[in-house]
Amino acid sequence: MNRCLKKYGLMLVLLGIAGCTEFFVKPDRQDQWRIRENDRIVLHYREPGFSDDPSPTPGEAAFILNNQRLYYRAIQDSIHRDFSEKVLIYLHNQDEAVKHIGTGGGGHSIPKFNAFYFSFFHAGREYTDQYGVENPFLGAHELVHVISHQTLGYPGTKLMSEGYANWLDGSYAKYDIGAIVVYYRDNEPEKIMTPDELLFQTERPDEVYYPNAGVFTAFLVRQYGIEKVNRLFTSGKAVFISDFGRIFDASWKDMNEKYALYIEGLAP
Amino acid sequence: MTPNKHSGKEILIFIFILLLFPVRHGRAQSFPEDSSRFQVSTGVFFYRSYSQQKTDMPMRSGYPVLKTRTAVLGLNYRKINERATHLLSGQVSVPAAMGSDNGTGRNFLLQKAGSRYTFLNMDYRLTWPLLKTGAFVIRHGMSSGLFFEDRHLAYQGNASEATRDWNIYLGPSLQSGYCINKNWKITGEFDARLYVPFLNYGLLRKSNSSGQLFFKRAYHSFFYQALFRLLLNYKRVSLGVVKSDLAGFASREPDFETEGMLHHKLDRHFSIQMSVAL
Repeated sequence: MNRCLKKYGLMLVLLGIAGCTEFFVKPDRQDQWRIRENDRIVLHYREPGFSDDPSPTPGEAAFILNNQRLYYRAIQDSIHRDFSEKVLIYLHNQDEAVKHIGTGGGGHSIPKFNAFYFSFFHAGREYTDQYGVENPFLGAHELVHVISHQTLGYPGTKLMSEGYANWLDGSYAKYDIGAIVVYYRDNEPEKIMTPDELLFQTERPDEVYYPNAGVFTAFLVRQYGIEKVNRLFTSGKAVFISDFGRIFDASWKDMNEKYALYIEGLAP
Repeated sequence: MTPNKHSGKEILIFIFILLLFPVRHGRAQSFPEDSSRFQVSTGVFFYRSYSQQKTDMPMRSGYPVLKTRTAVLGLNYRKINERATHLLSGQVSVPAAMGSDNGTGRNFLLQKAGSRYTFLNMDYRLTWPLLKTGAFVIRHGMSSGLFFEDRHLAYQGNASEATRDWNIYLGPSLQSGYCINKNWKITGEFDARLYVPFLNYGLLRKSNSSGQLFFKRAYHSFFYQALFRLLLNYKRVSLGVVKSDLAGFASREPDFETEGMLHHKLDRHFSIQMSVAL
């Protein structure tokens, strides 16, 4: 009898734990934001003194807002798609970002909600991006995810998703992605990824995968035109190569050879 | 989760509607659960669909949130055998307009008039006695059913996304009841529902600001739902609250792969319901 009661008691406890979805998905009702907005971007950021790490000053918030508006237009022009929704940016201070969004050195997007989350910090390295913005706190990467997903459809592969984001941002960790790939070519050739590896070896570290994906996407756009690459954006992994052949009217093998020559010819 | 303050008016309307149903004055019976019978129910339903604010474990759901509030109608049939109790229930929500909240109460995402949410749930629960001591009873068993959800998001820039999915679920069910006296009883119920991709089907469609469809894909969902009910029973009338958390994702193929993910749910459902046994 005691054993039965213990067994049933354990079952009840286990069921109770399983019933608490908050163990693995905890609601986080953040409502302490300052808001600055323009016609396309709504920037949520923390007030001064919110946490131990610095919050953006009003000037820095205005700078971020203006840059994101610039990227918003540039992304549309690059992928030849119109987009007119407001994008919500939630900018956490670096110390609280790890707890709330999982990283203190970047962010992620939720395109379905026209939103992305990012951590605010002052990078040590001076950098000017491909749009001429000096030392941007936030690049175009997450905004590309939102706009591309909402105008082209949801990507079928990590290659296309991160390829577009890195191509249109142009940088990874405040270094130009072309320069990173050239460095890998000349010093760490095992970190140069072929198109097949980009399609199937998606577990490679971000510092290897992202620059390679961005450079490869830039190559495809340059070689075949943005409209064809856009049509490949939503192809799943299983049909990606066959869709490539059909859309681009080219052989995957030939393209691999052209890409290898392209990498060899990349200027430092 | 806090219900909207305006729900009080709707609750009064629902109580008035319920009072229109004839209530038999037969031999007094302590609780509706003691005999096979039909029950009708109505209530107010609150829907919140949160964003994936933190995507690694433990995950966090946050803002912006999509939300709506609507009425729900239900019909149950309970059949009691010597040991097993069968409960067949159906519930449907009135299609309702949707809005969003950025975290400070502002809606930057949706056009309320063009956005819509509705659901239909058909459930079968089979339970057996587990434990009975004095006035306290625990029953255990399983629940299975069909959950249909239809959601249309009309963004403020005139683009739109529509999702419609049919999901079959299965999982354990637990009920506990305490008889306060011969007329009053309080019950707590818990259902854990697992939705596996092989048994579910959904369709996602995206249109641009000109209304042109540019993306259409089928998807298969992997969700987990934890549902709690707390009911206060007086003879044939029950008043209760139901809280449900539904979390998971949907992919193109019926597997558990997240690459190429098309849809996610971090949803909280909350309802206040009243039912009457016929």
